[in-house]
Amino acid sequence: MRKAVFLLVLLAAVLTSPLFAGGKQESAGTKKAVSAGFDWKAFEGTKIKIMVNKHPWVDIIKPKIAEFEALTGMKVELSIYPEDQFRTKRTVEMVSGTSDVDVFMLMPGNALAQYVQSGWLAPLNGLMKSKQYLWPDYDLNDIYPAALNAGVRGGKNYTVPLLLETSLLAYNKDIFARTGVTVPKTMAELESAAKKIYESSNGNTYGITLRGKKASATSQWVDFLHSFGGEWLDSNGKAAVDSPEAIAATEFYGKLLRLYGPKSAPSNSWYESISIFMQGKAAMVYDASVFKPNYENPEKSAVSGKVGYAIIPKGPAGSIPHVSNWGLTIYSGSKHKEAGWLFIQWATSKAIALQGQLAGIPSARASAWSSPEFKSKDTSPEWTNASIASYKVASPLWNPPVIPVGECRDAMGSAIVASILGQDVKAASREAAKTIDKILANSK
Amino acid sequence: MGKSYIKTSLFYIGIAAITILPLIVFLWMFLTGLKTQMENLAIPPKIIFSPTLQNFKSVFAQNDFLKYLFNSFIVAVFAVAISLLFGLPAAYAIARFKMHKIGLTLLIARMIPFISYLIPWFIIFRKLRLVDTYIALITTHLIITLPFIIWIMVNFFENVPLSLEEAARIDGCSYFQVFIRILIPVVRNGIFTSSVLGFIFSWNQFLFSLILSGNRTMTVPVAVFKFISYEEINWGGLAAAATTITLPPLILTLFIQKHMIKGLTSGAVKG
Repeated sequence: MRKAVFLLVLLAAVLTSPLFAGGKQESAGTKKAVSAGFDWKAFEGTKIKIMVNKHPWVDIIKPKIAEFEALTGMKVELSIYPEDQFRTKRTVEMVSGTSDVDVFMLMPGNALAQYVQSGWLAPLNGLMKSKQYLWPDYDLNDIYPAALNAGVRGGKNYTVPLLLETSLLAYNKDIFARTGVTVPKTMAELESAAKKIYESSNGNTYGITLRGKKASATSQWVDFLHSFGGEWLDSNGKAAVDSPEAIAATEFYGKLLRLYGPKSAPSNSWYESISIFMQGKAAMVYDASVFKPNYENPEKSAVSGKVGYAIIPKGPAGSIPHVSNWGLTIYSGSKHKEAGWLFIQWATSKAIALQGQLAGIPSARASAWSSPEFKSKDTSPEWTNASIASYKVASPLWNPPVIPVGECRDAMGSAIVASILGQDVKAASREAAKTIDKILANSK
Repeated sequence: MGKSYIKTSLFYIGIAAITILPLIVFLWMFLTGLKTQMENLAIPPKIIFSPTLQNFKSVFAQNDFLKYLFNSFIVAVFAVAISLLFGLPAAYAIARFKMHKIGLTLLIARMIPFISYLIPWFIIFRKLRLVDTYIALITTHLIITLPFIIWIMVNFFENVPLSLEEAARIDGCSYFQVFIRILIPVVRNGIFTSSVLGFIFSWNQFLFSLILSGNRTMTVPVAVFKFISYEEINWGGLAAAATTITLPPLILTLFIQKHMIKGLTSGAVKG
């Protein structure tokens, strides 16, 4: 009996604890009377919810949240989830239409089309122009246009980039010197360099390695596509991967791998591909710029210290790499949009961008790249210069700007594999275009 | 003599053969937790290494792991307790009055893919301002534990001879007293079994906890994923955390193993 009483008391105690009591009433945002100028304290007392994925950038800002809270007098609730779980949770919160999140991370290349079409994002244009809410020192022009444009749909800005990645051609300087090859400036030079290296080593050293595994390959193939003058979609939103330019690009991409690349190419994703390069078995690799720390890590890489970096060689349409980025966005149902905008400005400010840059997170701000502090600590200026050159000419699109991104990439991936295997590229590209059109028709 | 010796050894060889695979997996996880990241990535894997407790230390030091363990514990205990409170009388009624259609309906509720509950639940709990509270987690975990406990207990109650109850009724017990004083003690092995299994199911539940918890009420299966970061997986930390969260159900199972085996094998009143 006494036990039962004890259990009841315990039950009562736990039930009345604050965790059971449900969401406490949020302290009402004490919005100050409208003043003309910008004021960090405009939303003193407001509580905002930020949802992010576990990313090295978050490790930079997490310890600094207290500074933001002191600066603004706001409360920030930051919830962090690993990427897959983050995507699941973000989707459920959005679909339910009742989320209380204010600001979250989004990768525009992957999800912007879906989020905009579903009406889950608030356009930022008004806030970006507002005298009252735009921090005078924020300097929007300092952000690389390609990065900002990646977050634009239908003429409206939705995301602000917090980092910026691109793809670079990395090459093994030792092999280049040994075989007398110079850094390729055009696609024709790229092919002849790969050929010379492969043939002079009797096939022991691959001329180049690239991703060949279906969908994963498209994110690097797309730079060849653009440089050859092709596009994912034409101006009517129909698949354009079977245009003569696109077929030439796919043909070229496959030929490089078939003739001068590893035999395992059709099953290589980024990990396998860069590993081959890092073991010194391939003279060149074209992949994401953020793999530099892998190439240069003497514990993992046999080529550290010998790697040179360059922008993608010129095709018929020029050198057109892509950029990809994570950005911050404001939920359309947020009750604290202006307060959220203050947070975004703080989190993507010049100071934080520089902090990230110094910690190895490529910034979307030109000022971080050109700052004396970064330059004095930069151990691979060649990579830095190639990255900056790439940002300046890059296309903001690396995936088709549609909702079923994954399915379209799968369809095109099959055509890329066909090209690597030496099959009929024209037919495979037509097939891919047909499939993509079908996918797009079904998703409407 | 010789024959029974062979029989016994065959029996144990059989047991060893069945248990060795899961045990190797568990051992591997434990050993991974004792290695550094470099050792864990080595190919071929290192069999001989100097063990370090660093991973286990960091699990408890850096990630509020005790808080998550506590959260999981509260949720699982209350989900099981509430399930027993409602499930035992329900199971008794279903067994005694042959309401098998209701029993089946409950089972179907358990069989619907959990993901289809998610969005409605999120909306409801959001409107009630109950996201990130124990109430939300416990209530949703009831969908796991309650039908399960009812379904197991129906069998146990069905095996109790009616004469046992009739005898108690003749001696002057009310229905309620019969239930509390006679039936519950008789089916206690079943209660132990279903409670432990219910506890484990709730303990391991990931999806509901991911969506309906937040920073305050995060449970361990969600927290374990904190060891997977954007670029690489901290295998040592992940394994150390996984080992740690396996312990409470394991200890619980060992603790009431005797009852469980009876519950799993016997009917109710043979002994």
